[in-house]
Amino acid sequence: MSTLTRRDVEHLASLARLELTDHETELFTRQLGDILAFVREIQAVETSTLELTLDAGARALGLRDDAVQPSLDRSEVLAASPEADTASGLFKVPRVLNG
Amino acid sequence: MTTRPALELRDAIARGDRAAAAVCLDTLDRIDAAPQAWNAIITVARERALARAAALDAREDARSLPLLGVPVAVKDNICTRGIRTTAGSRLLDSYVPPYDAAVVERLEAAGAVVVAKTNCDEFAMGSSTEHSAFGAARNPWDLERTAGGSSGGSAIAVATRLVPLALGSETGGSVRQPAALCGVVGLKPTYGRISRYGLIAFASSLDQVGAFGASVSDVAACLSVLAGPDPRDATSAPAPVDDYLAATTQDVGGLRVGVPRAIMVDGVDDGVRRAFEAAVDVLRSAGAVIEDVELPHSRYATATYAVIVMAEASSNLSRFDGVRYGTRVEGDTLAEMYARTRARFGQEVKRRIMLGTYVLSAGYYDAYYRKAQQVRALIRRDFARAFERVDVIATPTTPTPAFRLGARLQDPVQMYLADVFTVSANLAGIPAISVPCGWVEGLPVGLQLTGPAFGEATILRAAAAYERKSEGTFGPSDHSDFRTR
Repeated sequence: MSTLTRRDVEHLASLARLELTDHETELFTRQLGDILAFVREIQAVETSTLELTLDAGARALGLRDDAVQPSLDRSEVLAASPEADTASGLFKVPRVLNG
Repeated sequence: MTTRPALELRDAIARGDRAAAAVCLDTLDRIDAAPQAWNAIITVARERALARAAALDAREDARSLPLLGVPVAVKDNICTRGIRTTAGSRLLDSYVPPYDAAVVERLEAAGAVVVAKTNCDEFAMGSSTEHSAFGAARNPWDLERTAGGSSGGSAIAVATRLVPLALGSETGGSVRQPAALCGVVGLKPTYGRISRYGLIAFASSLDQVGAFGASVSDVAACLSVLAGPDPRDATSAPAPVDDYLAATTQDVGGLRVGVPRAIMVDGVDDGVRRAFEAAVDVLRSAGAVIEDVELPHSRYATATYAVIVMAEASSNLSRFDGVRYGTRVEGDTLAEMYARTRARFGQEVKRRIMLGTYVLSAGYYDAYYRKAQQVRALIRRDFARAFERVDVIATPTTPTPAFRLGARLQDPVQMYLADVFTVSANLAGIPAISVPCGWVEGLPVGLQLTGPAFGEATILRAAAAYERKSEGTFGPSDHSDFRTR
């Protein structure tokens, strides 16, 4: 498996919605490759006979009744957001659709 | 007698020898006067703490509370209503949660007083508390060295006796490692033992709240308060809560202690090795039976952990998008606003989000994430087999004493290797404790005791027995005062 290129790093950053500086792009191109080389050692482990359980050993989680319960106060939650329309009870974001 | 500052303080307040408000004021004054170089505290909750302490003094029925009037510092990735909660991040530098975490509720219901929020690596991602937007914390025994991380501020606050108890969080050793490097007791409970409601999520299959104290019995008393199910955290477990404090008074005659010598071959400092072997001898002389155990897949634990933690972090941190809480950096479009806002993450957080995105992407998922889950299952199986033969497993907590600040910042893989002995317990979901076991060139190091799931009583029992037997053979009296500047 090859190491990462600068274009790979830029693509990952766009998938992750991260704006990187030039310095970070350059740094990560090297460091992410180093880290991937390190973690690749797990590929040597024999696991072909293993049945995969995604969360091996986890307990069955309890289920609660599907009933309406008290939750956080809406105005307090909205007050902690960067921009909200408290009267209508909504978070505000920049325009998503054009036109 | 072993020092148990939290419980002694509690008893003094319950007897009426001291008022909770006076203890609180004294604590706040000491926090204010603490050397800035330590950088253990991000926010002081002065008014909330004083109001809380005064309310305890006014209550007739408070005397039976298990942590009556005990000041507690809380890692800043644990939500506190009305008190800024930053997770060490610029994205949350002015975030004030509208609710308390379950652990904060439980502490206060038990009479504890939350006095401060402690410094940590951003979103708990790190092993040195250098990746904090509020500056690096420093080891009080040597200011040029790390206090460990990510819960470094909580470890310092207890080591320097600013507070007798503190909460941290663990994903791969973030309580045990700073506890060892600062010379205090640190416990990571079983996955599910403590509710995580209000703990800012990092890697959800690994995260767990943990506790720091100056003694094993203080930590046991704290766990007794924190443990138990909570309907608001579906991963919290209904398993019975043992009498942890009673466990700390039992001896270890016949207790089987496994030592996985094969995993302690490479990269372990000679001084750490000597301190560890001396600690094993102490347990043996206390009546424990020492046996060899094998954990054949532990050598892959750090790499396995890195893949899983990054994948889960990249998913969890997608919530920090400038919409519902924290900082927003404006953009012309929603996508631009997301990217600019998230540009405020620090470098380590960005690194992990990037790698997590990579290992979860089509074409790489099987080779990395799926493979890591399989190796995790093997690590878990190794422990299950070992615990058929022994009651606890002993290792050093860290391979070296505290390393120099900056020494590993440019080499993430070296930073990850600081957690080589601690990540396995998180991968296996089992409890582990670090207890001070001596000094290496003037720096504290820790003995780690790991137990089977919900075996907290057993590891607390072994740790307390070790603490009693080793008392007087080392300790802060071997060392000059804390460094303050």
